[in-house]
Amino acid sequence: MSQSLKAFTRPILVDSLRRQIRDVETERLRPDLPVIRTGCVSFDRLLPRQGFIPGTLTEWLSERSGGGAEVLSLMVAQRACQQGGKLVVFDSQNEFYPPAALAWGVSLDQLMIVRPRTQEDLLWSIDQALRCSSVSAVWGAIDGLDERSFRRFQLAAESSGCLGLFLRPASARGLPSWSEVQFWVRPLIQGSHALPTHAPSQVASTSARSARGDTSTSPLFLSQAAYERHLHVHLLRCRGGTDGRGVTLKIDESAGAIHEVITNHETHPVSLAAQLANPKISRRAARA
Amino acid sequence: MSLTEAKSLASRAQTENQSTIIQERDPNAERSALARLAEYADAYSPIVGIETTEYPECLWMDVTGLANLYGSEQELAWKVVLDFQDLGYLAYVAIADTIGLAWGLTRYRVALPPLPSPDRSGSRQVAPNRRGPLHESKNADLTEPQPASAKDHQLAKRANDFGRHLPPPLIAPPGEFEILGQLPIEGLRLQATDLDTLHQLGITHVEQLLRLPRASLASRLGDEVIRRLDEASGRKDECILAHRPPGEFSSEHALEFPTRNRDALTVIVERCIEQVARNMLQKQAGALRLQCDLICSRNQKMRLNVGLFQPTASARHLMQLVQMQLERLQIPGEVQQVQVNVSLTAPLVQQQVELFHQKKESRQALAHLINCLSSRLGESAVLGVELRSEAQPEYAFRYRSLAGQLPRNGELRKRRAKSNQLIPMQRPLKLYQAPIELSVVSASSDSPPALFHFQGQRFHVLWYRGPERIETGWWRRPAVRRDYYQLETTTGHRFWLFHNLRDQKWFLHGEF
Repeated sequence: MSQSLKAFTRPILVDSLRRQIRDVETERLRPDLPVIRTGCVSFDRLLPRQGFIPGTLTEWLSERSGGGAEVLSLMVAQRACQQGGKLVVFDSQNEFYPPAALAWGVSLDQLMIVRPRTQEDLLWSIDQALRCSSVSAVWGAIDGLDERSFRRFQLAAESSGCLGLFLRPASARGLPSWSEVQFWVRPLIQGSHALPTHAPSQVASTSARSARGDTSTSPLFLSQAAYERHLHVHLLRCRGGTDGRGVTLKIDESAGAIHEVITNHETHPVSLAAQLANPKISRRAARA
Repeated sequence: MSLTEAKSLASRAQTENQSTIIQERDPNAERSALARLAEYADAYSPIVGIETTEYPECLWMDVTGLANLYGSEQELAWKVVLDFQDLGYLAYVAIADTIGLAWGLTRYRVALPPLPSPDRSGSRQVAPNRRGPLHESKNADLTEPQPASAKDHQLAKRANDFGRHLPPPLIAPPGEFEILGQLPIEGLRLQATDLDTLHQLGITHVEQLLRLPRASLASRLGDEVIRRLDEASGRKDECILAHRPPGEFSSEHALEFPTRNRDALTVIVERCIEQVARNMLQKQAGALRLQCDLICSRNQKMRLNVGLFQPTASARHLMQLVQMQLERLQIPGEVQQVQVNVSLTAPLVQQQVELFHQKKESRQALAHLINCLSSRLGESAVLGVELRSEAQPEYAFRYRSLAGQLPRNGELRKRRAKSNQLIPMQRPLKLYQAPIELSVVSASSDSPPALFHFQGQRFHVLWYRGPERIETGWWRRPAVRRDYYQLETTTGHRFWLFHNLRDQKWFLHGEF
């Protein structure tokens, strides 16, 4: 076989092998249940079946709360419940605020709050909820999770087809996990496109001054139009998928939608007609 | 009394050609009879309780404000005496401001001052004592126990007309505690050891006790004497533990040999539940709330509460839920009685089994989950949410227990569906129950802080959104006046802060 042919067939072969491995790894999962899509193609593409598979567990790791992992995971939970079924929220700290969940599209009729007092009760009740066929998603923060309980959760979710979404601390990174997918969520400060026209320089200077510890400047007032939030989602591990990939997302708070953040050179995408009319632009876009 | 004593009395009665029956005393039967009387006495008062001693003999009734319904307190008391007489009981009735004084008056007659006009306020307790001899206090004027009203005489006359020589009820005037001093110390519900000690000291009446210095009483005689004295004189509140009649669906089992063996108790509870479930099935009712009481010696009661999301008459499922609590229960002593009572029921809903049941929201599975969670974690830990029309974030919603509630009707469902349309503005997913005061560095007064410290970390504010002024809750006191800001820090984290306009302090209330 010539070198050129080898070079041509290798990617196809790798792709084929990757697909086979994915099929083997996800064989036990229930193919009868539809995949849960977030509506953001680039985000869904991180996952093997282009979406979250019912009956699996997903971990959302972050440095601390308030970074956006909660909102993003809740949006996935909301989409998991669109076909019916309950969303069970585990709120051990008594800090979950239901009106905010309602604003993100969660129906209060579908919402069920469980408040276990001890870690033992928390693990037991999550297991019970994951096992229930009338629950579509289980959402909550868990700090200490031993391997045995984790494995039990996985089996429980598989048996019912319930999607488990767990908010985990940064310390959970690198620990053995029985989840199908593990994300690392990092908040990003909004780029210049999100701020008013005069803002970019102001943001940059404020940020620089803040970093130096200079606190004499007032924070910037943000206009009503900029109701969005930026996050970077990094795929730490994924069964049947490719680890290490990531995507920068923008959460549109007014529409409750997730979009990919388009980099500067893609901010003015060239239309198909323009590409056809001018091959130079098309080539430049392809290179980018 | 002892058997020998009873036999000697019986032989004496036989010589007088009177028939006698000797029967062994049965405390359980006595308690049951008293419980039946307490249920009967519900007709007089909304709160009827049974004396909380090992061998109770007395009923308590709260008759505060009820005198007008019967004409006067005397008439109420006479009605109780006459009605109990009809049931075959000789009742000694007393009405006083405190339970302790009423108890003493039922047993020991004292000379009571005349009653004032019937217009009274304050709490009043009645203690009908269904049996036992009426002792006479040494200080009492027995010829005229209490100056009674004309109507009182009429009632007494009516009782005598029927051939009844009934003990007249004693009514202590409101606020009158001096009569307490006339009572013998036995009228204070003291324990036998305390009574012995007092007798050895030559104290026979309460007034002698009252003359002693209070501080030395506690150190010499213990807290029990002081407590009883305070309860009788109204210095210390004593509440009536209301007796609730068993529901329509209840079952109980008294153990001949008390035990703390968990397996044995499980079997007994199971039998009781099966019996209750059978009764419910016959009436096509399902349990929504069930209580299982394990009564130990010294009247110590352990209650297992089970709330259900959907009515069920399945003994197996009910037992499963009780078992979850029973296996975690610390049994303090030997259990001598098991009671199972269903306090809330709803009609059973029959559902046809679907051949191709693919619907995700299976109500049966959901009911099973809620029942299990509620049983182990408690009803207050498994909650649904309802929105409220409140501006203050803490009160903008309300939790409701999903288990142990009657099914909602269509109108409520409609109202809830309507409330779902009320989507609030930006609110954080995490709201602290109590706002956390922050130390901040602020550059100007009309904008949020440029920097704040939280959990040992320093956050620089990059931008903010707001303020959203919330000024409400004056009826809750103090009124809330807050300016809320949504902030994003240079780390990308978002917080919800407010400036309290009352004290000019900054608080962190939530995280987005």
